[in-house]
Amino acid sequence: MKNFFENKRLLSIFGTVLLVLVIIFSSVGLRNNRKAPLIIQSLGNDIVAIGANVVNVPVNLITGGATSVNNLLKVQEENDKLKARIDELDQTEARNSVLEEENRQLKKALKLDSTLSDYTKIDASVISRSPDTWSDIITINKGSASGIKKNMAVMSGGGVIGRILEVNAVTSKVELITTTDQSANRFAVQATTKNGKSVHGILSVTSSNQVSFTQVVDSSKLAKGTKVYTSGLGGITPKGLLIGTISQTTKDSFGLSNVILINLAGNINDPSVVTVISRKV
Amino acid sequence: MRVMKKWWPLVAAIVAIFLDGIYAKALSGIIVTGFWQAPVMGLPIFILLISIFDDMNFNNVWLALAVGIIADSYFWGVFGIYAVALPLAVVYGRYLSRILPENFLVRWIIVIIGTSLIIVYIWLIFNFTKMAQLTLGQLALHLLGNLFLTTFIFAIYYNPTRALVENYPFFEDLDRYSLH
Repeated sequence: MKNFFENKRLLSIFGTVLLVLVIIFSSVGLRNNRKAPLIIQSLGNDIVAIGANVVNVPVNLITGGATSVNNLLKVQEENDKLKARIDELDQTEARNSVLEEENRQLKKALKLDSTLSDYTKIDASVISRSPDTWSDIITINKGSASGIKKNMAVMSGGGVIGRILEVNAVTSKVELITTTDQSANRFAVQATTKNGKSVHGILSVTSSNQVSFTQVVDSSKLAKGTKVYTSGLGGITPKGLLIGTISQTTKDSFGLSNVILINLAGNINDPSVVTVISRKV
Repeated sequence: MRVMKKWWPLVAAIVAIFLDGIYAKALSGIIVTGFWQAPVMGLPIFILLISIFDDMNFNNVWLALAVGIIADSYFWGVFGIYAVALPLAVVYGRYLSRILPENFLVRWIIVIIGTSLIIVYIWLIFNFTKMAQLTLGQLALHLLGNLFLTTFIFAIYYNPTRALVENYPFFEDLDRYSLH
């Protein structure tokens, strides 16, 4: 012990390691607890993002071209599918407008200005992704100047894909729903059983990196293919945003509770354009 | 423009940050969810190459620190990942380049080992701070994928980085050493 304190080199290495750990833990704590990052950090992120947008232009031209070619190859198959659905479309639109009018009249009668399901949308493009592929963080080109706030839900491809993790002036970071970060803010979700009962729970990620519906009181009546939506009970996310569909119900490693696995509806793999959801209530 | 000569490596390193983010986004369907999972290590490769080609210039440690802080803030919002890994990578690259032969193959091995060590460091930090829950299997998969992706990026960055560092070393004014 005496030799350790007399050895200046060893002491300085130990001190440096300790300092590094303190910096890392405190910056993780700051990121999770603050509503916005420090001004200098926010400014730096925005300046770098502006440069990234410039470099992104030729890359988007190339990847956009590749996507167009891919889409051309699939056009016949998609055309056939759409033709089959076109007959249902008119009927769905008519029913939709009747329901919207009924909803508006009911809200007026109850003097309800807004409900948990009311929200506004902010569209944004994805400009970058974290290079490590473990942290599941993407950067979008809208920030507080466009009305974005921390913990707002983010959707892409028809389903929820994550939450706003950090907000700068003109950019924001989105933490994807597949993150295994233990301090991540989880979605409160619900599903409807065959007999019309609502089942509530929390979205989490299993040890095999699959998204699951947990803390469910009674899951035995949730059939495969049942849609899972946000419940709006978390306080930030509106009600009714599609998460995905139930794929499988298994037992956890102790065999005590059910683990309900979900097939995500959103485009997690390669989201190019996202929609940030701002709840009105 | 003469003033800018000392700063070109910093500008190039910031462009490397942009490219890492863009490649990670463009390749996410392959390197995140595909079989060949691998991190995009363009910035660490660039910094390692600078330290190998310009091993006598200690200013590269400060370059690595500055770029590491910018990258940490831009990608994760957490400081201490690249801000620690990149300066250590410079020290590692400088030391090895002095004692080992100066050829493409040896430098490739130095870069592969260097990037692998950085991946292990990131794995440790993420698990320690609970930013992600990662298994040894995931680490092994990333190290294997890193072998291929790093080789590809190394081959692309090798000659341009050497040309950059030989003509515009970081924070060194080569005109001071000219005869006229």
